[in-house]
Amino acid sequence: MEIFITGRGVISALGRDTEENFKALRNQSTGIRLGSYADYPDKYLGTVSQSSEELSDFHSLKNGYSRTALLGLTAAKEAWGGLEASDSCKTGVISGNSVGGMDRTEKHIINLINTGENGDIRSILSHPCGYSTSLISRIIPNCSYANTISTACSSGANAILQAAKLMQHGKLDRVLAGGTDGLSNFTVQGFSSLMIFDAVQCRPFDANRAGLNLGEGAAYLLLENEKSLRESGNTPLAKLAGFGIANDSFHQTALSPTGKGAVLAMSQALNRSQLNAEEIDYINTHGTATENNDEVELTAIQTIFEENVPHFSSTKSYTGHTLGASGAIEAVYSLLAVNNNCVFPSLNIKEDMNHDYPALKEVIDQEVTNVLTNSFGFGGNQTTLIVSEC
Amino acid sequence: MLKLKYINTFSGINVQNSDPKRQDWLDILNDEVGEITFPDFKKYIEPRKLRRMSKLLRMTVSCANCCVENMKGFELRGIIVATGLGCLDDTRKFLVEYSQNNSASPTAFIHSTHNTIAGQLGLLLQSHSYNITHANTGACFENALMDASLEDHNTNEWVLLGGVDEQIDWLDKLKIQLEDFSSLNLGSGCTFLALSATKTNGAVALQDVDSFLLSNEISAKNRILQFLEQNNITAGSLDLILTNQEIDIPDYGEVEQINYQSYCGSYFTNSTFGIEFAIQRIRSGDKNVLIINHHEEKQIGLTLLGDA
Repeated sequence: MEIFITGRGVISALGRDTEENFKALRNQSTGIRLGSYADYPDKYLGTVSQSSEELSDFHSLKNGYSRTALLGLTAAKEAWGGLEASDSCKTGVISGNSVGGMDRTEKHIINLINTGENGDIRSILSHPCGYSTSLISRIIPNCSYANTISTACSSGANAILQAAKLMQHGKLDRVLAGGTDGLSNFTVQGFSSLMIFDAVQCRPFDANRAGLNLGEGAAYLLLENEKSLRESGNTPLAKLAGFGIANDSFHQTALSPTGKGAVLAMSQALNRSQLNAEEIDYINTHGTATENNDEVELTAIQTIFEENVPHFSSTKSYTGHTLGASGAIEAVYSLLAVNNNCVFPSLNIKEDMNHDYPALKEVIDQEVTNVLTNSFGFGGNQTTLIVSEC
Repeated sequence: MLKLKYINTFSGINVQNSDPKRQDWLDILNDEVGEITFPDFKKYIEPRKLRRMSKLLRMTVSCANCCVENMKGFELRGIIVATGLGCLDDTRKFLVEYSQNNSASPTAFIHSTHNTIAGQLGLLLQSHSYNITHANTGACFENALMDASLEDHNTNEWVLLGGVDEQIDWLDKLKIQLEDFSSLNLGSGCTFLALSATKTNGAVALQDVDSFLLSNEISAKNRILQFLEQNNITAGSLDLILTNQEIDIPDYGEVEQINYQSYCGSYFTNSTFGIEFAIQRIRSGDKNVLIINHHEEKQIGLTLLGDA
């Protein structure tokens, strides 16, 4: 059974819709800036330029929604488009995120600790991961299924994978799937405590890379099967040709030296897509720019692709690491590569890593038929998706 | 088509039962939702590993290990976890630490993610296979069970599926300030199940599971009716309906109805307590049991278990 991608939406540090994101990628223009998040003026972060108040206004909502929910709603509306209700198609939403409405929760708690004042207690109601999914489900007419996946940094990719699985088993015909995560002090402090922040803009696949920059955003794909297509009349943009998921079972936060989980996820995805490794034109890597990730991911890629390693890059050098949203954002970028026949480079590489294959450093216009994209997360979660031309 | 048809065993820790090996706690049911009593975790987890685990992880690993013990000879093919609020105590710890000191040690942060639970199990059981975490508040368990039921498998393979949520003092403090929740009796609990295509001794049949987002067009009552009709359940063939709240149920003759939440307290994955309840009833002679998890007026999870 084929799964068609018929809509996409994205908001990130590169812009508030797909077009703005594409332009920035084409122009090799990063969204990572110093001091873009008021609480951490000394950090380079990929912050979405609209404030939560501006996003609330844009959606005609009163203030008080979590940033995760507002970013998600923005990308979800773009991806869903104006598709009308269907009586015969089973319709659902599956969204990934890592920390739910933490931006609202921590504001409440920090205020309580610092001033002893309770503030608006209702702000903690947006804390559960499912809260943003519930808000998004309201824009989907006749939505009969909602799910939220939380596998840390691979949440968005796993939401898309879960959608594909339910569609293949006939549980759903039409799914809005992706992920969202807003920046919070919680995650900035968390990654800071792990000491994996680069003090400057991150340099994925550079020999001297020194860690990641965090970012925020959201992205969704509209997935439809043939039955749904007949009813919607939508033209497919591409298809979700393959997906794979495995666990590295090595360490809570670090990857195994050989990238066993990554190798398993990529080979499963290739098998499912019935593609040979040499048919992949571009890999949008997980590429966080940490010492461990890029070394292991490149090792795993070479294990799978041997002498046929295609162009690869990390678009986290544009957006920062958007955690639970990243897998979905990068699935949209993979779709953009297929639709526009071009591949996007990694930024900030001065010296290649000591491997046989260097990462892509310039935009290349070429035929792009199949793109593979990786998402890895804490807890050893490893997921690969393949986006292919129809 | 459901693929993994049997729930072979369960292992749980909840306010009614602190022994993850106990398979017959219906006899000791108490209609007061008290504090959870934890077992001696050293019996189920190596002491060296135990030291660094939160209460939630201790419950998780104890129950998972009991399932593993029961599935000797089978190969573990997937780990699926449902949790509404994840590792709440580690989340609280990290939040307080950086709020007070503007810096914090990474330990609590590393353990704060929802998928710490499934991730730690993957690590401990050295399982490289399917590993995922469902977190859609009150509907997450049925979503996870549906996911498990669709896993491809061979006859000698099994899937470990769990639902877990922890109650911490903070929740009680926050709850009393919130009108809609102040009367809730909060509970916590952990249940792990072993699913496979082949039945072992004591197995019950997972006949069907579904999870719906309700809309104005289709009421909860109609969803339940559709679900039962699809499964050819006729009036008189249903022995027990387990619910977590007052709900309008279609007429299926004289069916015994029990509110499981009144025994286990309120937590996002408490329909797993209903599953444990149902398994015990089926083992003592019931043919078909329906578990209804109705959450926040919007979500409904339906699970139909039967004798194997």
